[in-house]
Amino acid sequence: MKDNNIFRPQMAEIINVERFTGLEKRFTIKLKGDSLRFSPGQFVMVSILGIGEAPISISSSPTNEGQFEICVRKIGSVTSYLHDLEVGATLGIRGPYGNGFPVEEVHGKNLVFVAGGLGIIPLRSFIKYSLEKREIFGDISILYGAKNPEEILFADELKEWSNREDISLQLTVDTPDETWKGHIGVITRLIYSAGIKPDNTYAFIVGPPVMFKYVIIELNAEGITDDRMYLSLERRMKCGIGKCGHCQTNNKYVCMDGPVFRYSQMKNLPEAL
Amino acid sequence: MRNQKETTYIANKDELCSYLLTLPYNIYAVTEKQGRYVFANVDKISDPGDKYTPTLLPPKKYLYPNKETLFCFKKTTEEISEIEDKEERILFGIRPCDINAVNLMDRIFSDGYKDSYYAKRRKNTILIGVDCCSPCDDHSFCYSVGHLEVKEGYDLLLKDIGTAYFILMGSERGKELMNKFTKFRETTPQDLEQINEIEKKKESLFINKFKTNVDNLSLVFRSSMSSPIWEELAKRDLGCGACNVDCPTCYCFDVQDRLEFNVEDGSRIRNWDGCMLRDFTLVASGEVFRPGKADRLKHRFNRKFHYLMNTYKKSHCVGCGRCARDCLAGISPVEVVNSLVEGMKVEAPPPLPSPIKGEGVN
Repeated sequence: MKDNNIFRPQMAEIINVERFTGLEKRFTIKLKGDSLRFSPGQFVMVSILGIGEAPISISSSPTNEGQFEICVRKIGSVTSYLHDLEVGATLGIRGPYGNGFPVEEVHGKNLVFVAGGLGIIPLRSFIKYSLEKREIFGDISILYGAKNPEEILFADELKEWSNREDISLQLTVDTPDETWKGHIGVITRLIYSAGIKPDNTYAFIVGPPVMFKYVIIELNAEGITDDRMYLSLERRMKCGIGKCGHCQTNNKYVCMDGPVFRYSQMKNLPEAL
Repeated sequence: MRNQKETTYIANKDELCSYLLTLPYNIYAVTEKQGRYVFANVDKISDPGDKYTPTLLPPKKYLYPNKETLFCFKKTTEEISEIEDKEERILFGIRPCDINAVNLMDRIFSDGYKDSYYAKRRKNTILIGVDCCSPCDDHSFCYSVGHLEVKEGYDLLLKDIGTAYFILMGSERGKELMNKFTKFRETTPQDLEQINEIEKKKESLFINKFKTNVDNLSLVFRSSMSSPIWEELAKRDLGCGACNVDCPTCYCFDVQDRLEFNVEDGSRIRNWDGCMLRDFTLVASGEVFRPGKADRLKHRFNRKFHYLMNTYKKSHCVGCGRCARDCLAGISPVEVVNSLVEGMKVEAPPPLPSPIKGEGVN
């Protein structure tokens, strides 16, 4: 029974903690005696014994074997407790779970990443991977919208990306501060000016439910068809392995059939958006 | 005495029940409780008669108990240990609808990631079914969903022929169980005649209460996603989730950690949860993905008759009628299916059923 208890977490150690904003922290984690093999877009169940478990997206590139990163907003009981942990602390990990992005399917294609708010976290795993393997992808555009400049995650990295000439990066905020020099307003405005090629281009969209609808309309207008758009959904998950029922969206389990869905398939799931 | 053993087995009721009690198993049998029935640990099996209604809680409480410990832990050392359920038990008197429900749950818990807790309890549980000769009450509709007949899943299936049981062996384990039973009697022509008569009579007693065939159900629900009937039903629905609790095929759960007062020893447990409750789809940001009662009703019914039915090619409602029997708003799958089929408005709610007196359900 010991070997096949699907609910038993593996113990892992926090090897780095970095505060991003008032609410988000990045944790670098190493499994004890094992390494996590995952693909971009997958998630893990993070466990704090005595507090509980929560599904969290992996935000680092899968090529960085031996350790992985999660970026967590302090919002529920598990994430609040997690925020109090320091380097050297132990937590439990189950997974990786979920299907992840169709990385191989889009080799040689142009990629458009559209991130709203915390949506940048799961997308970053794929973005990092595509930048590492730059030669196997076509054009890469990254569009990222946040509420205000303070809520922009991975700011240092974004600065680095903005200096690269082989990708295009555009940021926007809803509410600027005095120092903000970038775009202002909803993310859909960026799509119009991004110069997206209609052919051979795939879009990866992660953000709050309200964002999806408008981004899809704009991308359609740019010639990106529904079968070339992928969305990642957030749902409550108690098991991550297709049993507990919480994440079920019509007849699909977000934890098993998703969290990444091709939009042309998702259209048949009225509960998805 | 045991000739013809390979084909037919008949045993006196009292003798069979006494024999079962001598076996090294804990016996949970259908027992009367304030006019209703429950599965309870017994030291004497009493014949509940032909027409007992399905138990208040289905037998899932033994295979997939509420509050199951997934593991224990120590907070400081982070040592994790597992508790293994070792009880060997017999469930006596389980009805065909409930055996069919167990068959469906077997698939659910073994497909994909195999649930070792369910598997272990299932392996340790012997199912002795008692076939139905007539509908238990007006709420049941097993025939309508194709779950009157049970073909597998049981170890023994008993057919009540008065003072004796006609016994069908459903598994090797069932045969072994009866190895030491010496009191089988030979089947007489009268026995066979009686069984034939019962089976024949069943055909007229069990009727299809749906205004459609079971094979059409998935289509009915698929084409009723935007039916106004869901909102009509939602006006009556109390959102209490009782139907989730007493459904033999509802298996959704919540996972929680518990810490003892010493703040050192703890356990992770899973509790039954229900898709009819608002918080079921609540995420940390505060968003609820099925905020309305109509959304939740539609989801629950679609799971039984559409989503899971498409996957497993069987209705995931077994027609036991528990949800209807105990629904304070009087919502019954028969009414829901027929309203959708007719595309008509749902009728006024029936009077509230009288509550069960005394202590809580078992």
